Amino acid sequence: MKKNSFENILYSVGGVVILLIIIIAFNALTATVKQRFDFTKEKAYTLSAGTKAILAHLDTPVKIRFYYSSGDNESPDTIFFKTYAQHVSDLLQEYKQAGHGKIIVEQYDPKPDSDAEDSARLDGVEGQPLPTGEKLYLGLSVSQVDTKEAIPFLDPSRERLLEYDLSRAITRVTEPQKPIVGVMSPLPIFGKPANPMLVQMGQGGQGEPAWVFISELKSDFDVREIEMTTAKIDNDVKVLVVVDPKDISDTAQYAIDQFVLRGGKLIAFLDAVSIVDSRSQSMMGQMPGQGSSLDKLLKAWGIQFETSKVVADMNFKVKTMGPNNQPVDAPTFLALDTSGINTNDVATSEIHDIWYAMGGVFTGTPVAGLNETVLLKTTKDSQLVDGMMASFSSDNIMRDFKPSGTEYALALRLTGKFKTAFPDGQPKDKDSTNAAPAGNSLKESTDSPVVVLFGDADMMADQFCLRQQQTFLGTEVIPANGNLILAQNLVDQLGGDVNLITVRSRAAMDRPFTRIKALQAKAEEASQSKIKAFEATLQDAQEKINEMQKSKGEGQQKFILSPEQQVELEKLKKNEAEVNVQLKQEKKNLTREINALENTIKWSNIIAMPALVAISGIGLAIFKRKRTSAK
Amino acid sequence: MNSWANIKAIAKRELVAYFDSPVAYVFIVIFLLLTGFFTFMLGGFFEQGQATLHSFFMWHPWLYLFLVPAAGMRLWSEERRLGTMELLLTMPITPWQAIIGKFLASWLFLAIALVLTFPVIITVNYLGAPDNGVILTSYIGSFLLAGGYLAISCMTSAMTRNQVVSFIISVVLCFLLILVGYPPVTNFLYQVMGFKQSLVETVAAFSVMTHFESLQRGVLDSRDIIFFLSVIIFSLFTTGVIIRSHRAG
Repeated sequence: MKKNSFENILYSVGGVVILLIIIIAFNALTATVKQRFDFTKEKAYTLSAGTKAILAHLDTPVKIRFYYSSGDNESPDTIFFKTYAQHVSDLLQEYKQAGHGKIIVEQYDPKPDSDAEDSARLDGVEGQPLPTGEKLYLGLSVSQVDTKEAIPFLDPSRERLLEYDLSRAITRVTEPQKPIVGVMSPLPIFGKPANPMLVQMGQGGQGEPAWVFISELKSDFDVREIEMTTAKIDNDVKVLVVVDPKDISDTAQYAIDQFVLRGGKLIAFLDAVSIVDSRSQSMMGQMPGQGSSLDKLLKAWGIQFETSKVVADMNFKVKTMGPNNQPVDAPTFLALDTSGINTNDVATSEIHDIWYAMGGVFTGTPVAGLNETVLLKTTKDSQLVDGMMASFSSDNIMRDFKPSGTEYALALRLTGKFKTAFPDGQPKDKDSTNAAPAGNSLKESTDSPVVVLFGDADMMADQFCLRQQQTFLGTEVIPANGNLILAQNLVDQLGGDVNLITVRSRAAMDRPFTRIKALQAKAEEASQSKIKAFEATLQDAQEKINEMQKSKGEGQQKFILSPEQQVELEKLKKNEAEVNVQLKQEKKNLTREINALENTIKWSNIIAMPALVAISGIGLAIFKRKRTSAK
Repeated sequence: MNSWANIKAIAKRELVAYFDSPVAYVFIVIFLLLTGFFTFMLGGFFEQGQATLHSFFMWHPWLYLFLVPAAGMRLWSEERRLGTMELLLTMPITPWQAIIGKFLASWLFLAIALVLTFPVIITVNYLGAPDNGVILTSYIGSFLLAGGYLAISCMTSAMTRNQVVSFIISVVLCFLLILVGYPPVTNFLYQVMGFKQSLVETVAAFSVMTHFESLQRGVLDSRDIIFFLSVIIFSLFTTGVIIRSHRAG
């Protein structure tokens, strides 16, 4: 009886309600201990350890306002943004998940003249004009209490850096003060003040402005000049940039050593042959500067850097002006493309070209405990050559070139556990009277230091990273390559939250129809070759007409085309028309080919399988009927 | 006989019954035609120019909305109309085994229909390099969604002996489950009605749409799977309660 009444309750409306409550509670409970498996190829929904650490450290909620105009009428222009906006939105959800309530995500659709649009403007998110005249908003703002950081436009071409950009914006609002960047160099990279005496005497002495590298850093960071003879680097310096540390003293190396060991971030531009340095000493003739290194430190880290050898690379060589103004190959002046740039690292992933002028290479394996990431490298078609030789002539190098088969590291990053290069404490310099502080020097890294080494210092000089461009507004200086951006990225990355360094660059999720793309590329190539061929005939005809013009006799009219010329011109016009028709035809053919492919795929997808099912169903029915009727 | 064998026997009987009648073929043909048509004609598969199956899966909640109740409406109402339910329940099986068996048979039938859409996977792999992990979880999501709808249809089918009534109630219920998480609706609630975001999100968590879309991204989340299984268990339990009340009454 008792059992029956229990069952009666269980199998009644009451039971249903109870089960509903249990199920909702179970869902809520299991939601807190959720398990997730990322099946995407690029692990798109798995945040980097760095981002997770940044989010875990949040104590005050951070609000992310994401603006995207979803637009009602989709055009091919906007559909691309729509997919990307979805990715952004998905990634923001991941942040929210990982933020455990400390990340608040709000999504707005800024329609024209709506509150959301005002809010977007107030947040510094800018609308991008579309061809249709509408405005597309795709940006976000990150805010915490009263600090705010905006990403005005989330450029889909920066998709790989999306996580980095987001995490950086979060760290910027949580730690609003600018990091202090120390710069150490014997070169006049902070500029030289004018010397009025020398100017008056007509012996030069005009001041020199600071390198653009430095002025750019100053706009984003608190830049502090550090003497080459320093014995200690201030504790508040977060990033230290060393440029061409020629003849650096052991004391200064010790200062850098201690800086690194306390968790400092070092970016050092060493050099094999310093072109910039040689020019600043032009009075002494065109002798190139000697190399520079941080020999003591590199030795402790297990890295070798030969200051007498520069690297030549046949794939990256550029052409320079020779003595008689003819272009000559310069195999030690490298213009790296993406085959020499680490495209998986946040600092380098968006950089497509780097100039590297007479620089050295890093060899050797880092000591145990240190991890090395190569940021820039040569191709296998490279060779180390004597620096002195290379600065005189490149002909010999070209002539005697033997590829080494090694991909030399041009820039690398070291992370991990650093050990001191000065186990006996501060070295006693001859010229330094300071007594070494006894025994309180660091022996091993405590925090997480990062060291980035470049084998070339000239790459940061104005003449190697900037180009002057004449515009109607006058001379404008623009970046000639990715050198400045790379340095900016590095300082930015290292100066920010330490966890930013481990935020990886994400894979782009653009998945084009490669087959259709290939068809288009093939057709493009075909029409390009046709255009080229036509241009050649055009030139020929032009020459012919000119020739005829020249050979006109005295009595002939110079300004009226002779019948031959007219015939030639007619021929040319006809030819042009023909080529145009052909090109148009080819375009038509391509469209037709693509349409045919699409249609075949479309209809076979829609029809084939249903037809197959229908036929097999009918066949089976007939078969069964026959069998039953036979009985 | 153990209960699993009973469930299997029922499921087998049901599944064979499906394919013995033209219903199964008609259903599959319509399902495949519609998915193909929606994907390539309305989904903008080629216009997007992306090797994903998004334009294929985005229609599933809407297609299932009508097709799954159509497949599930006869599960119990047919038995009741023909009076074979009494017969079925006098057999040496419990109502639970019958419910689960019938449900599994129909779910398997829907799975077969879903599997027959495989040419579309071949198509995207031919055209480009899609993320097959995403496609896998999307299929899992679609399968679970079909299961959720089917369980609801099962429940409404037990409520009435009229198939049409069962169909309509089940469509309405499933539609509600879509709507509470359908972005235009949640956006409306949030932006126009001024509901709190947390409230809107709580409501949206009850929607099949939220969980289906989550699986579409390529992430297998325990919450999404538990949600769909919860819908199935709850609906099947309610089916059991309804059938029991009929028998008692």
